[in-house]
Amino acid sequence: MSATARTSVSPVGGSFARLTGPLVILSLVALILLPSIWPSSYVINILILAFIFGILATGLNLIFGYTGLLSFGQIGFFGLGAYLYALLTMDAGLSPWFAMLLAGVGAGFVALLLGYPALRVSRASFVIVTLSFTLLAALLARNWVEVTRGPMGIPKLPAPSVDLPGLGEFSGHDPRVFYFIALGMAVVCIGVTYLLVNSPVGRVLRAVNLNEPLAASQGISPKKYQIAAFSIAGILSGVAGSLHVAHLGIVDPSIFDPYYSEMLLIIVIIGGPGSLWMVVISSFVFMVIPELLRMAPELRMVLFGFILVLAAMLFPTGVGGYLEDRKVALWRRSLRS
Amino acid sequence: MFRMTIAATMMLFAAHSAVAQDKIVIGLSTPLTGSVAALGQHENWGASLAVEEINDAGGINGRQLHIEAQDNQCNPTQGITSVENLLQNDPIAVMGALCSSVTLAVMPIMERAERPLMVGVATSPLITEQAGVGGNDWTFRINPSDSGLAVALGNYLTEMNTIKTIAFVGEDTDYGRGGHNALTEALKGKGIEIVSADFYKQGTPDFTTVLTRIKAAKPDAVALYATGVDELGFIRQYRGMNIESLLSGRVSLDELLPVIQAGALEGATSVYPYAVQLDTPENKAFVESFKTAYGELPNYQSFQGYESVRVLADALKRSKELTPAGLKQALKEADFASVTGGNIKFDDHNQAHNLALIVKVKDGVIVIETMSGT
Amino acid sequence: MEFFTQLVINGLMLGMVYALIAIGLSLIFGVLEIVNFAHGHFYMLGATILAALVTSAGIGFFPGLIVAALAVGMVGYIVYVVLLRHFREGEFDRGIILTIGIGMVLQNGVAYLFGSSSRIVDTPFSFVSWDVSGFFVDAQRAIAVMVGAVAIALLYGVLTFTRIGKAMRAFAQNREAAFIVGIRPAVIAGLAVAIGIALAGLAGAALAPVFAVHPAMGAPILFKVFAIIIIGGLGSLPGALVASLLIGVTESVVGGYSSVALQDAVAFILMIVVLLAFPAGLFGKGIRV
Repeated sequence: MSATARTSVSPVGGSFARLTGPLVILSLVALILLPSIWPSSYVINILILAFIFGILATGLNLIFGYTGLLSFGQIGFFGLGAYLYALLTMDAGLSPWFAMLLAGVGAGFVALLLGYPALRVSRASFVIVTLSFTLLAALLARNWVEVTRGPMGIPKLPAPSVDLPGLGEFSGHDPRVFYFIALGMAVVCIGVTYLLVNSPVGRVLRAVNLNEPLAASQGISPKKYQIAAFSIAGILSGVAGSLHVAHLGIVDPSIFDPYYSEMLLIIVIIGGPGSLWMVVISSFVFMVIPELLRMAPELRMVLFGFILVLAAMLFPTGVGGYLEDRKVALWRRSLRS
Repeated sequence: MFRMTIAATMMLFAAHSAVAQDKIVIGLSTPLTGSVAALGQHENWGASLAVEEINDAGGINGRQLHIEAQDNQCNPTQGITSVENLLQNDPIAVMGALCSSVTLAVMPIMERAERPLMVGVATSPLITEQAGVGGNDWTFRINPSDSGLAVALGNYLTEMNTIKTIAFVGEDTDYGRGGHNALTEALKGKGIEIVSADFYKQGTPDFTTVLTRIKAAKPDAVALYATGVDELGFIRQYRGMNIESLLSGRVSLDELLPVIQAGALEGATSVYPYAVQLDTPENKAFVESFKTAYGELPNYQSFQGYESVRVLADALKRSKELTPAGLKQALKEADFASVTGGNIKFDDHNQAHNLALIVKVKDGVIVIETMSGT
Repeated sequence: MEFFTQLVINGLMLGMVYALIAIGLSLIFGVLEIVNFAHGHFYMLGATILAALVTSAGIGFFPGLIVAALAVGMVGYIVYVVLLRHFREGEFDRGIILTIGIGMVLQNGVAYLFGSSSRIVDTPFSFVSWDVSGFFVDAQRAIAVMVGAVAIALLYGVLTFTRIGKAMRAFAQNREAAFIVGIRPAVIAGLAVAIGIALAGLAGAALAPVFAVHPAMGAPILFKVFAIIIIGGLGSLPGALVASLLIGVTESVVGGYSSVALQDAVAFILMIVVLLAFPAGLFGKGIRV
């Protein structure tokens, strides 16, 4: 079936798995301390983007890596969440936090509606239908001027603020505060996905991905699970989108830029579809690499193209998949000796 | 892997602090990749040419200028990152960001960093609204507003006395939408009616359908607000279909020279902030050296890049201290002779009012019909 | 009524252009089950090569057409031999990722080498138009349509009457059966990819004098053609042709009576409707997983 199918249960609970927990906690501590050690607004801005893309990439990873469905709709949900946030705060006067929640729910609901026609035929048509959804959403954002203000965009968006008892209120318009808001949201979103993929539901998703007819014969209804996963991925993208425009302070139709779709795909492919943590790390790496390549902007995109070609040819399961294979090889060797 | 990321970020940081201290850095955030890369490229060329000329003439009180351009892909996200990156090099000011949405996203950052932002191309009226007494005192804009240009065009078309109906076609960006709003406003009470308005997506190759509709409706004029590739494509198809309506709007006739020399577009009348044909010594010198340096004629974006740097350099020479705050004060007192022959003086919204040119095709050549303030 | 007829004529002409691109895309999908995301960029490559040949090398338009199509087809064949050949059946996602990568390299590579400014190609037919019983026909566009019609007719001939063409169709319908009758799959698939990509290059070359030529021209047309092959049924060549004409005419008529914005949305909306009513497309071969 899909080239991205990962083994559902690790053959060994080996050193990798045991180290994951401490490494995640260590990285988290480092990220919490970082702004006080290195207070560069440039670095903080890049890390905020990495948190947001970490959420977005985890969403695509859930639908592509675990369920095996390649979705180009994630940027559509990202933009939808962004616009919902903007309209709910600016026009409906809701609080930023509540708007962020509704942006996620709204995007998830649209994913639910889209999932049905998209999954009717084949994986190929799923790809094209989700792609078309993103294009249509962009068209709507540009042309439904009465609501979206069209290409002029909606500037001066509010940012959520944090009220700490005894310490006072911290405004999210300060990048250092927003850093912690984005970090917190990333921890929650990625944490929930971690729990989900390691739950019985996660195992069903992998089973459906590995062998859909077999899973169906076991009384599992694949479509239901696929649509549910697509919808959860939609929620994650919607939340990421609302977070993103709260940081930018403006939303306009360029939120649907195909560049994001390409970046997102590279992040998940190189990280390894189905490897939760590797994709998160990959989000950080691919927010930094374009910055390193700022000297040659035209060549940057050529290089990204080559990265995708090489990845598809040499290691379609990404770094995560490569590590998994190594693990299996080690396990086999240890059994032999 | 994670350690690698940190190491890479540190390297990046180190590389940036290595820029020579004695140069005065001006940042430029503009699209160098993506769908409007060609426009950003021209802005960068114009700016680099001005820097070269100023340095050859002795720089700013003996110190050399240095322009550092960063790609923003016409996207607010990349815009913010590019400006944060530029700010690492301690620029005295930043120019940009070509696209309105990017400019609006960048304005608060420049305000926080307390450095002037020099806007030369972005058209959204919101930029001027928010600048100066509007709240953001660090944003300055030298390109005339949409409404200034539209009023000039509206007045001219009214005086022509032959135009009663206009079909509007624009790209679905702030350029097209903003142009439509401004023109509608400018034509109020003048007896000219906009009978249809179409907004197409940037990069649309085929205009047959809307042109067929226009051909059948026979408006007196077509007002086109398009840029770059789309403008060229539209004009070629417009010409191919032998439409009799007068071509008007905000058309960069300069970039259509081959079509015009072939005898098409006779009578086309456009409002534009710049034209290669401008008969001032400064402009002739600019066009000449631009052609020598880059092998293409300058366009509106290259002109604004060139002019932005010159306005900044003029202010730097006058400013008492070479700091962003000193520069801001000097900009506020600017009274600079533009390449167009107009004057750059900023009002209380930090908006300058350069000339609006009415450009016309007469006997296969482009002539500047009138000039007016905006 | 006259206006309506003119719109339909425009639509059919536009549809033929879509068809040339869509048929190539559908052919590749039929044989390899790969959705070629680089297809639009091969269209751009064809246009770029023709522009270079006509404006810089001074070669005539018609010889230029043939050279451009052959050159792009050659690139397509190399892509097959070096990259696509190594894919196994069902590695559908890998194919998409690979072709997206190829597309990015093509688009940005051309931008890097030749700049992002647009190029104009003038031929003796530029700005010539014909009056066909009161209706307006642009000569250059009519030539593109005729080139498309000839190419499609040739392809039909090859697929129907030659041994290799029959093999191609057999291969698309049933891989195992094709093995049994002793057809070498690599030859068939390579040829199908080369032909499919050459058609995209030919479309680009034929349209270069009609539209402005620039590195980003591939993406918008590709997305539309995706919707077309879904409507026609993935892998079905007659479906691709009919759906192309259908979308061309619908777009033209909708755009003629409403707005450009709605014209842009027509293909996508129609696609969703068709998927709800006929999940396998109008000419679908049935459900694939």
